[in-house]
Amino acid sequence: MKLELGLFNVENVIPNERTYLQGRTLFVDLNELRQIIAADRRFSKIEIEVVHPGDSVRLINVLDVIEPRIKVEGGEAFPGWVGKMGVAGMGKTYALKGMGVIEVGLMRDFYGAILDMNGPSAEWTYYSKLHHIVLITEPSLGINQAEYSHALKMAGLKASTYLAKTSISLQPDELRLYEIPPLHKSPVNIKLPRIAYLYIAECHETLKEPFIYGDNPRRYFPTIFHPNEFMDGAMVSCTYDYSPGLKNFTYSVMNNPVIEGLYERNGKELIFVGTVLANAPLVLAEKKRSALMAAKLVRFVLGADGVVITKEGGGHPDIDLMECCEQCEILGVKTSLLNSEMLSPDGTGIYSMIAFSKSADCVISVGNVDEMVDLPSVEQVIGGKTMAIDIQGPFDGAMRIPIRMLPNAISQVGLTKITAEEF
Amino acid sequence: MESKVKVIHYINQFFGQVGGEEKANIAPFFKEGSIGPGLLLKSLLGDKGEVIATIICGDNYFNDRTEKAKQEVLNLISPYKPDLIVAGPAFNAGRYGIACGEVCKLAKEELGIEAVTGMYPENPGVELCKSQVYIVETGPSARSLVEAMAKMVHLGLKLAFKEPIGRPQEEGYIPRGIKRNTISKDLASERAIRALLAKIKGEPFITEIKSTSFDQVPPAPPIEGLSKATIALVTEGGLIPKGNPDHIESHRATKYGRYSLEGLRPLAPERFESIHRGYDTTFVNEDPHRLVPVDVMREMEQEGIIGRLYPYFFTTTGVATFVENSRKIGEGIAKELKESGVAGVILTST
Repeated sequence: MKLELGLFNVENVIPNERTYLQGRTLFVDLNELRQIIAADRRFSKIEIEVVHPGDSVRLINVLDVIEPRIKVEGGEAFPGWVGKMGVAGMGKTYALKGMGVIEVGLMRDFYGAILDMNGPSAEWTYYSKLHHIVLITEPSLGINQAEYSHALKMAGLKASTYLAKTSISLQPDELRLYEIPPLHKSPVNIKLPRIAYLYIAECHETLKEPFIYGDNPRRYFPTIFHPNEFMDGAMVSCTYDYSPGLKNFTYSVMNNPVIEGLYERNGKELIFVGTVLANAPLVLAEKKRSALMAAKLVRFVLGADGVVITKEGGGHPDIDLMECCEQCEILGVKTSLLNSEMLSPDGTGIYSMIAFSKSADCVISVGNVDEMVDLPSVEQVIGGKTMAIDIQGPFDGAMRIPIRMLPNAISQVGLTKITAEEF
Repeated sequence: MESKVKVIHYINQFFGQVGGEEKANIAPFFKEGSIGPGLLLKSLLGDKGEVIATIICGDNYFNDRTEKAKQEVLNLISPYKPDLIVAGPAFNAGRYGIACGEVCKLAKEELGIEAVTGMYPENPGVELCKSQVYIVETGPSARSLVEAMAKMVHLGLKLAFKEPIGRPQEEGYIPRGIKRNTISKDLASERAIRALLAKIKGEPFITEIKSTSFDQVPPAPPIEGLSKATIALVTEGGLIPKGNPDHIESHRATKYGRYSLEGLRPLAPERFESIHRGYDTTFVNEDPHRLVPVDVMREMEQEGIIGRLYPYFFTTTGVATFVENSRKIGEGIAKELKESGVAGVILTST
């Protein structure tokens, strides 16, 4: 499968009477965008704001961040949502780099993040460094959580497509080629280790799982998934009730740094043989079966010597991470894992994960989710006056919050450089 | 702080030049100024600090009568109001290491004085106090004294002057088991890929989360005479009276509640709800008996299958809860149940 990804570097976003991309500036007709989204009757109110890195702005109730992308030729982007049901990850896709679309909403049990556009936050979360189109929404009367989350996802993806459409007839700043051949054409006689990536998706319940090709992942067995499918939005976040430090925002799924890192080294230090997508069932026997089947694909179908394993969520997916690690090691596949730690605010906790395995001798820490961070006061708060989770306002003052409240500061796929070091 | 840091040095009978094993039973006493390794300490402190006294104690005395020895050492230290305690270094001497660790903890906890010691990583004193006290890593024997004492002085002065303490490998202390978030040079994904390639090649690689294991509790023996037994209901499913009178957290709980099961419909959905953040609470909120099956238990009570249902149920939220807190919660609940003669518990988890 071959994907050409055209990158357009956006360095400014300016509200305008017409929407177009000129040089590195994206002009956006916010009224037109609002009308497109407002066609969905599940919203009673939609406001759109534009924010920039360095603004003295705090966004609250941040539910997802999406990179604007559009399919230019061949295949589908965001299949099952704004795209038709078709194969993602092939053909040509254009992406607007340096910016995001943010979904904001508030409903009981929604677990939104806090994103500062200036101050120390920029060192912790990648999203402080991007320009954003922020969709601030309110649900219509009688709309339940699942319906609202679906409407939000559609709004985010429609906006993403609307913005990326400006690039369609232009020349990208950079054209990247992502290609892994089918297995029967996989390079042989090259003395490089064959490396796979095993992605464990959360599948907990409504609002606590991603969607794959437009549907939730509860009925999946582990499956071969082409890394390019992630880049084209075959998986999107629908984790609206999930700790922002533990979930994988859509942006981090599309720009998964493990996949980028493996592609960069492909043919030089390793052979990237592909990706296996597994889920994280709620019953132990199912976890064991899922891990076994995932390991079997990694070893006997992809023929991997080594595998990087990541998961989504805290708590029970730790067990899936360990089960997958054990099963891979049993079959002779060397593993390295990424995981967050739960060590209490002062970092003194003894058990950083809820499962351990002797096979897990190589675990990379993406940080202690409980450590507190200090945010300075800001001039403007966008995204409401209250939050559904335990954190109380006022939100414009200096705040001391757990780092897990910053979107993807703790990133399960390694989007940041944060780690937890022993002192 | 005055111009010079006031230091008290703690050493054992051997380094205090009292004698060897035959003198290991001597009680703690003090000497003005420095002696033995204290002379090195004195010269390393230079004009930044002063060894105002040395406390010498036999290792056996300290280990055999720990509480008494601690009190005696405390009484010797307090009148001097030092700024810093330097203990040892103890190298790989186990009893000496334990004494050094206890003295440092004592200084910090009882007197609020900074303290530093030095030990070989396998010294049993390390596990005893490494989370509370900075321990400079030394070699197994006194041959490493000069290097060890230099690091102890460097670290001790930093502590006394309240300067920030760097990483273990920079300062030379044994990691204390306290983790802090830091910014690494590379993305986590890069570190993972690099470590994997090294592992495959058989080269050294770094793991950032060490493996450990949880303790296992063997189940209690079967209940004898169920028809006479008192059975209790306990849940981590977050069922609480509406309004949450005890302010139980919806996740990362630090406490539990205990609520009455008396009356006709003790868990009516008008009065109880679940605040748990880890599962869909719709079905529990429709009928809390699905989580805390008091209805079935009352039937069993009437049928004589069990003797009696304990008149209270216990509840907390088990989601992202620190193991240390879970243990305290469990111990608290178990204590009341045990004291009340409860023979068995039905623990419903979500």
